Amino acid sequence: MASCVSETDADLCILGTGVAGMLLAERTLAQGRRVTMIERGTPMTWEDRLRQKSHKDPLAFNVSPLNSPHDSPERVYEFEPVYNLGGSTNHFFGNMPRFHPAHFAAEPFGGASRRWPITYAELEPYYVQAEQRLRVAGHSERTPFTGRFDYPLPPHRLAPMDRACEPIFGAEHVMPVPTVRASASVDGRPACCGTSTCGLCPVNAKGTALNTVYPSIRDRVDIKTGLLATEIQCRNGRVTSVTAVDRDGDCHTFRANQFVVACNGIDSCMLLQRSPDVPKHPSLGRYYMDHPDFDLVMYGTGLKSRPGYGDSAQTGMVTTFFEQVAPDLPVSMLGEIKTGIFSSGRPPIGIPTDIVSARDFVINDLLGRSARGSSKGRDLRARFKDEWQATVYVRFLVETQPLEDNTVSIKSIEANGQAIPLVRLRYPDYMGECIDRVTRFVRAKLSGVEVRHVTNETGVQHWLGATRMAETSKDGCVDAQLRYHDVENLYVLSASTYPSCSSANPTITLGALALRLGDHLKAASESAGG
Amino acid sequence: MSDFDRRSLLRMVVAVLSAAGVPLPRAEAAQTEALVALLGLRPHEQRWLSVLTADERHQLQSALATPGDAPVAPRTIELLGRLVSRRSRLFAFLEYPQVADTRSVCDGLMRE
Repeated sequence: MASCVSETDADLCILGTGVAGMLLAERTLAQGRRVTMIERGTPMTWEDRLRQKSHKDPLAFNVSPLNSPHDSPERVYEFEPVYNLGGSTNHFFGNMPRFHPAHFAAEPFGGASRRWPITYAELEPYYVQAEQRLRVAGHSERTPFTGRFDYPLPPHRLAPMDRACEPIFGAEHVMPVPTVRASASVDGRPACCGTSTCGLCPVNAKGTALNTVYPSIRDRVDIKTGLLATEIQCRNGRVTSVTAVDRDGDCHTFRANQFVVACNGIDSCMLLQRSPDVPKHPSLGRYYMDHPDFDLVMYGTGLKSRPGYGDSAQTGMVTTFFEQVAPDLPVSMLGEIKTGIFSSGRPPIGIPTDIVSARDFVINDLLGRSARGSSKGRDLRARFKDEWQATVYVRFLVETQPLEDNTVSIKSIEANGQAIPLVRLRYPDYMGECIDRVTRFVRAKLSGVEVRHVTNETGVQHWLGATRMAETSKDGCVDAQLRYHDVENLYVLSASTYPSCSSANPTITLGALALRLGDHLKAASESAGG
Repeated sequence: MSDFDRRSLLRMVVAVLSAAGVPLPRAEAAQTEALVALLGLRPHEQRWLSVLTADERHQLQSALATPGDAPVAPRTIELLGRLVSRRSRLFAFLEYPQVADTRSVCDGLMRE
């Protein structure tokens, strides 16, 4: 039997070193409390990742990506977390829009309740704090809804393609996208260079957990790396310890007053599922969500879009359908104006992206349009330039509904301790309707435009909903304070707690929840006499 | 062999080679010129055509010179793509400002 090492007590033990866990750690340290963090991966630096051209972790229990069969035979659902220090902000795109206030209280639509047990108003001050801390670049006046906004960095300039979208979608609905792709140099990081290889930023301009929060906590938190948490032990409604295994199979036990599961939205769920002492609420592993998306390219718009020009891979967003598409289709869609699709080069670093394939699709279409017979005295180059300059490319993220049968479960547990997920995720029934509505909307605005549906994805690596928030354990796993129902000192800080998913990228909402949880944990500890 | 016989023999050889699609120097130059004009290439960009074989250039020139508004064949698009979709070619074809250092990681989007 592997030996078991007992580790030092802390006030707070955080499982996972992603951006949420790090923000929580920093806030807890500021309160004068002791923090231990458990991280399954190695402490790779940004330089290490550039050198190896990937985020892959060398430890055997950190295999990524992992695939699950999807509802269509031609597709798989790919789960690709980053399993090392800093988690998935290492490879995320970096968009940071807030959820719309209406999304916290939306009525059900073809699925379970979408209601959050907290309001936007309660979370707003934490949104501001998280945006300040993570150095989000954004426009504090040009926003999708009225609220308090105070972005620390100015927005990227809108690209020509963004401006071309204004007459299509409404000038009031095209605005700078809030993002951690830096618009100016900050904290020793340069501004975004516009290569559109954000999966591994070549110049470290993109804000990540590693380059924003980690420097501040590195020397003040006990961070244990290379340890995979495998079980949470409870007694009498309290967590007593957490067990983790190292690369040699030896186990380590951690004790603390409070425990926070801050892994990604799938591994957080699986850790709770594999821990026999943790109560199995009916919603655990259910109501899983991701954001499917679809890309539309518009040819012959007559607008001067100048694809290939822009300060960053994405500078503008379309909010026409953000609150909801329509009263009879009350789901949210957020448009991403994909300037980066047209960057001039192939990705120089071996991170797979969709840039090359989407660009080639468009180039082939434009060559076909340009090469048609009647030249009217103009050579192909002149026609191609005109076609290119009038092309607009927009991706739409679509809100998916929390469905009971969309699930995360444990397919198997490897000998080294890694839990392999099985994800069941049904494509929303209304996807086709969403695509049609946007297409009709565009055609109504621009006569003669050709709108092509380029591609769609089952999900964009937003892992949501499988440990959802609700007021009671009948309906959810955690309460409004993210406390796991029926376990006094266990919390889940992950996008798996979202009861609904909006169409906004989830990270800044998670950052806000992290800071709010930090304040709550201090109060809870004091009230318990801790 | 008489001069007449030599000329007849040469004409016969040219006719056979031409029928077999073998490019001949003068015909090839004319074809290249026509293709350059159809594409709108600058003189220094003629070398782009070297990625295509003589036969492929012939196919492309025939396709582009054919009048009418019918959809373009996939083969034509494939040949055009080989000419202009490479990283060093596309923005030049569009007459965007040249990227200073094609080996730099930061030759992505153009800045206004």
